Amino acid sequence: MVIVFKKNNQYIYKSEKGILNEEEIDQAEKMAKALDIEFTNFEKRMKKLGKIKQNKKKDVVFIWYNLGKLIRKYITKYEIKTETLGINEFWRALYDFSPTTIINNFPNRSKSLTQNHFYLCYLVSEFDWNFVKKVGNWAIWREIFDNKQILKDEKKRVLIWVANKISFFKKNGIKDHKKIRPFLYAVSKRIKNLETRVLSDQELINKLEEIKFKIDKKGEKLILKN
Amino acid sequence: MDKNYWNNAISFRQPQNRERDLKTIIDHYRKHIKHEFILAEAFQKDGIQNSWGARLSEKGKDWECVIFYSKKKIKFNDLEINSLVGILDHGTTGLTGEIPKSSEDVVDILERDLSEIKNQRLAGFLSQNWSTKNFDDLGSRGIGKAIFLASSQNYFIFFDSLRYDDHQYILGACFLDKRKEISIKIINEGESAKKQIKNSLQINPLEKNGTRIFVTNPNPKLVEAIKNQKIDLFIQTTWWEIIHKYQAKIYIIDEGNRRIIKPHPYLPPKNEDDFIKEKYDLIKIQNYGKIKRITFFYSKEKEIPETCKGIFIQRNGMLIEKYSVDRLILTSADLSNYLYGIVEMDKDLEKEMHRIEGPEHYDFDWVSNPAAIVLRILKSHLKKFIETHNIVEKEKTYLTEEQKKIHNAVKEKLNKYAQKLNIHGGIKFSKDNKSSFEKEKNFRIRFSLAKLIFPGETTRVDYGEKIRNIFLTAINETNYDVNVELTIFIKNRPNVLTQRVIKQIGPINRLIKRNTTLEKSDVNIGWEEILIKKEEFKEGRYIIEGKLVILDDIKIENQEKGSVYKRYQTFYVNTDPEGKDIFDIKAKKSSNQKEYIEFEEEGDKIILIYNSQHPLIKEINDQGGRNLEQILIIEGLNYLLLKKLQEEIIDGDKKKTFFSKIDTDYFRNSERVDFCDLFTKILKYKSILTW
Repeated sequence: MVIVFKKNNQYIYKSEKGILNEEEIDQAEKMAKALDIEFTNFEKRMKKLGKIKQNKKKDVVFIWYNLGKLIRKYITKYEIKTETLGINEFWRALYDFSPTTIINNFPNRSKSLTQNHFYLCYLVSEFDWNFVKKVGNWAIWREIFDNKQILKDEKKRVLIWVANKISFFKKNGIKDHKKIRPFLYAVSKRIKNLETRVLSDQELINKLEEIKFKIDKKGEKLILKN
Repeated sequence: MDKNYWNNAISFRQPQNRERDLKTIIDHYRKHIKHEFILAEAFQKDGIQNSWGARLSEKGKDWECVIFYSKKKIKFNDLEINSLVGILDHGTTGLTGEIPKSSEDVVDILERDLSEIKNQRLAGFLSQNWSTKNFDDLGSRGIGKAIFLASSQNYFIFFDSLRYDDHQYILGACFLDKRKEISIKIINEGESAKKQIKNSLQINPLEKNGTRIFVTNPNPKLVEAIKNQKIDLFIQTTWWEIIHKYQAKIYIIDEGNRRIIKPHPYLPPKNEDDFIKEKYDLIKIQNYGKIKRITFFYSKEKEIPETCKGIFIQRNGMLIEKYSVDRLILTSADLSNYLYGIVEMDKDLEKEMHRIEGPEHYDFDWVSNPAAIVLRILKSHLKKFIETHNIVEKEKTYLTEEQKKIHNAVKEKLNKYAQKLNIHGGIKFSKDNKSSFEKEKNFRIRFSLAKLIFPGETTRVDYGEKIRNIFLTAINETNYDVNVELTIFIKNRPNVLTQRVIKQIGPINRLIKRNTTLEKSDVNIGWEEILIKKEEFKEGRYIIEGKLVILDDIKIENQEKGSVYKRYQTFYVNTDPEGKDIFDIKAKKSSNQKEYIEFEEEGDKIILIYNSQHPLIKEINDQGGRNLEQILIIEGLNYLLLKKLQEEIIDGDKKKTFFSKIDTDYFRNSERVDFCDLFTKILKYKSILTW
């Protein structure tokens, strides 16, 4: 697959093989132009909905969720294989196409897939919108994504389990992302040395359920037991 | 002794001359502020700091702060007021908390638990060396408030406050009385307080939540700084971060004329094209938090203004210290006039740094951790910045054959000592002293990687050569058969995500018998040999990684279904191995008198740089190699010993120290360090180490 980067309004092509033919370049260019249009339309749509006003964002989870949906659709349409080696080039290239009102910088850390903003949006969009809302604001989602171990499972089973737990905490008055942090650490620690791929759903859940906690409703605190 | 005697004893408090205390506080500021407007600089820093610390919204929405000067003439009792300087804020909590009736009350409130006193801002304001603010807040030791008193020529201040929680209005005064002690008066009954301020000061009471402090008959230098707008510059520099990030509103009202403090034109620079800029994001410091960002700016042409020279060390939106570039790096170029930078930290690290901050909020204790680590990181990144952008042209030094020989000999010796001292160089220290063999024994299901056979004596392989015997052999020390997945692959290290898996064998599920013999024919996977072809291997470092995953639902110590066991070995294609050596030797030529021998830490390396132009080195260099070798070893060893001392004594972990092994009592009991004594001790350890 050929990835297109945009620098000073010029296209730069990269392929994992290092060699590219004309057909591949044509296809890549077509994809790049489509992405440009998609992003511009997205920006317009968000402004119309009042989610971006004078370059300030409101209800960011909504924006990022929908951005994720857009990328998801794009990936399906152009049959981009997200498992391909070198695919993080694709996620990095997205920064070049994004309108500045959406993302206006490209932090160094985004070079790693699990810190790439677009990839995180893409991951969030895997869930139902009601579920995403239920889990909480973007700070909580970031907190989840800061724990790489949670994203490690190919089928995202750990992520789903964690998201469900957080939504449960929220119902019980624990909303601040910092209060959830120790719990996320505990999850990371539990699965750190495991290859979750070889575990069945039930086996994985059993291991995760070994993390015991208590909710102190009065102090709105989460107390880990082990 | 009978208690009753004490009950009847004559009792009084030791008199204290507070006037002298106030003067001493100013003297402390004098250490940090090197211009004539000390009071103005301190007044704005401490005043705005208290105000920003009491803001109601995290990002300072609706917060504003005003410093004002008025020539109002008022007569208040015996006091003749000719002018006032003050500070006023809105969008803040006001002076909240219980209203104390005596100094005992103040102490009583402040001695409570941290969680209880968080909101006791009034008590905090009225005290000194106590504070309602825990370490998350901006100030903490309450020295700043004394600045207000010290700014008044007759040591008399008024304050009023409308509190956000109970909407109560309070008025108070704080002054140095005839006995040179600080007296406090508070009117807490809202209506009469409002009447009082109108009658005695002819000033309207506050209508919005916030606090206002009036300094009567202010020091002329403070007034001068408001008049000549020097104070604007101080505010702009100290508070550039909140002005830039949150559009924080800070005003000066000089006799009715209002002006806003504008963003600092260089923080960040308005015209970025005139600068070379680089950001380094998220640098983790184990156990302490993260450096959020280090930013460097290098002005391509113009010299930068005096106010932004140095590296700005920020905490909580406020500038604490400008660390001089000259102290960070030694170059012959006039770098500090063109280069400046910013260090921002995350909340965790800020909290840790606050603990070792000076009481005036102008400096950190740079020898204690985490400041010492921050400094090391700052140095290495500054060096990287300078090198990446070719800011200072490198002076090329060509080494003679003789010098090369010396370098190798010194390297070898110093690396040996570093190993003996268990120093791993750079910023990360390994705390785990277990040998890899001990660690392996913890896993009953594992594998061993065979000893690779290389064409030469090192782990270097050139194109067209072969590596042989690349095998891993499974080991099972349990009493039953276990299904595992074994994988072996080769990857190029710097690009983990785009790793190039050259060959992958497996997954292999098979039964492993207990006490498997380690013969090749048994359970092992890998290659007899790999030919290193140019088309397949780029130049650089490679890792052969073996991985074992348990597939059966077993539960033994440390291992369960899904557990991963990994081991790896490295080799180098067409390039020399980095090895475990941490020392590197470099030579340079410089006529700068400050430069003799320097040490720089980069990643996990320590680089010794000697200046061949230094008279001491030049002389022995001319006499022949042997002496140079000796001197470099001795100085390198000194560095290692001091580093070890830093690591063990200053960074903690007193239990397992190299030093305390030899002289337990000395390091356990000494709170103060006698440097001469310490030097003698170090010589003793040096003697043992080199015997």
